[in-house]
Amino acid sequence: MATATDQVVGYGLVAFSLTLFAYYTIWIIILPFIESDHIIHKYFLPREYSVIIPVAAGLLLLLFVGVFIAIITWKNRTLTKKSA
Amino acid sequence: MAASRDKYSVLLPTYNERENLPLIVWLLVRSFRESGNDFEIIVIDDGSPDGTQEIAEQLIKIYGSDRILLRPRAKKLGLGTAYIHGMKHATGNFIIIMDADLSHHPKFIPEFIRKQKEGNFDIVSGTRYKGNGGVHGWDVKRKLISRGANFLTQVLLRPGASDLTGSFRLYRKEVLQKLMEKCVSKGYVFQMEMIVRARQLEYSIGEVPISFVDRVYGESKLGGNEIVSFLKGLLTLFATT
Amino acid sequence: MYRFDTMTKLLQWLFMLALLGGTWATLTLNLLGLDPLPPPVYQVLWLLPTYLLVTFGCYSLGTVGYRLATFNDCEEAARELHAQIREARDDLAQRGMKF
Repeated sequence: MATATDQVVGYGLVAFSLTLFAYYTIWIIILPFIESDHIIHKYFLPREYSVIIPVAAGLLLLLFVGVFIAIITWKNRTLTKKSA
Repeated sequence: MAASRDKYSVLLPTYNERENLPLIVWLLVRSFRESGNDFEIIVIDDGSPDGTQEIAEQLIKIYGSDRILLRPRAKKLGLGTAYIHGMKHATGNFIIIMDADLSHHPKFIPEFIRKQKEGNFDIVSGTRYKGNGGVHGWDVKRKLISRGANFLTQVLLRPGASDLTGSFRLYRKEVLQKLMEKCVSKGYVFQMEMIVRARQLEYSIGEVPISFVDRVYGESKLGGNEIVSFLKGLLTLFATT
Repeated sequence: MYRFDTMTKLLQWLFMLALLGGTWATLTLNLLGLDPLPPPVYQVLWLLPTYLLVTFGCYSLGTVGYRLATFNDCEEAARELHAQIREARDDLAQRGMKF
């Protein structure tokens, strides 16, 4: 049995990813087949954003990972210098 | 049960484990006596300043020098070489490697042995990620990182085993010897490389769910350093194997 | 002869990506000069790589989340271990162990 916190965080992630997937699927796959004057189009940004947003998010993630690794490596270097 | 001619050598690499060593040995001896398997425990101490070796000497007096072997080394030299060093003195045909800090409970060893016999496996690996397996003493952040790292590893390496970074395993002696010749990494990555190489060499791997109780005495660490060296090792294995 | 299962994982990935990418480009740019597909299909095709990437991201996040939510917290094992530690200490002390 997982703890309550683990379950909240874990199932929270599941819910988030499912919602995201459903929304994105409608946006990318279904919308092109629906008449452009249908009301559903109001709930979605213009089509170019469906690329811009994920690419921006991906770059942000890469940047975060890169900065994290850089900081750790840099800390290590100063540490070994001190102890040397 | 006792008809088996197999002997199991447990390798216990230690560094500053005077609190844990007597306890793990006591648990090991009890587990082996209950299951009726032949065994020996090889303590490979890397020159701990806290008197771990003195504790080991006491244990030899209690349990006998055929059960407990102390094979120390002068200084801290790393896990991989500790296994090589320990294996030179091992008389068993199976080798069990585990942590001496009580996070790996000896009660699972009889299950490892049963699993090995059941499928005639070359390797039996303990897994925290399957069945009744699990961990204790980790906060949600650590569990999330652990699950994330495991997922990433599964995607990139498709290793055919669910717990790559765990170090509670049973090996056929000649298999471990062969693997030690091939493996070059250190730390967490070393355990990962063992499984990846094992798959390359087409060894069979069985799995037993284990509960991992994070160290009772002393502290375990998962900092930025561990994460970065894990990522480096993972990518190296991804590009080279 | 190059065998897929002996390639490094990196090469396997590159190989599969090239295969998928090639198929995608062929369809999207209609390189084979077949009768064109309906316009909405092209709208979807253009975004398919991003869509697959996002889908994979969602799958990863969902899987990790589910595994976190079902990660056993071995309370019982910890309790049992603590009890056994006491038992071990007593027994070893009786046999003359000095901690």
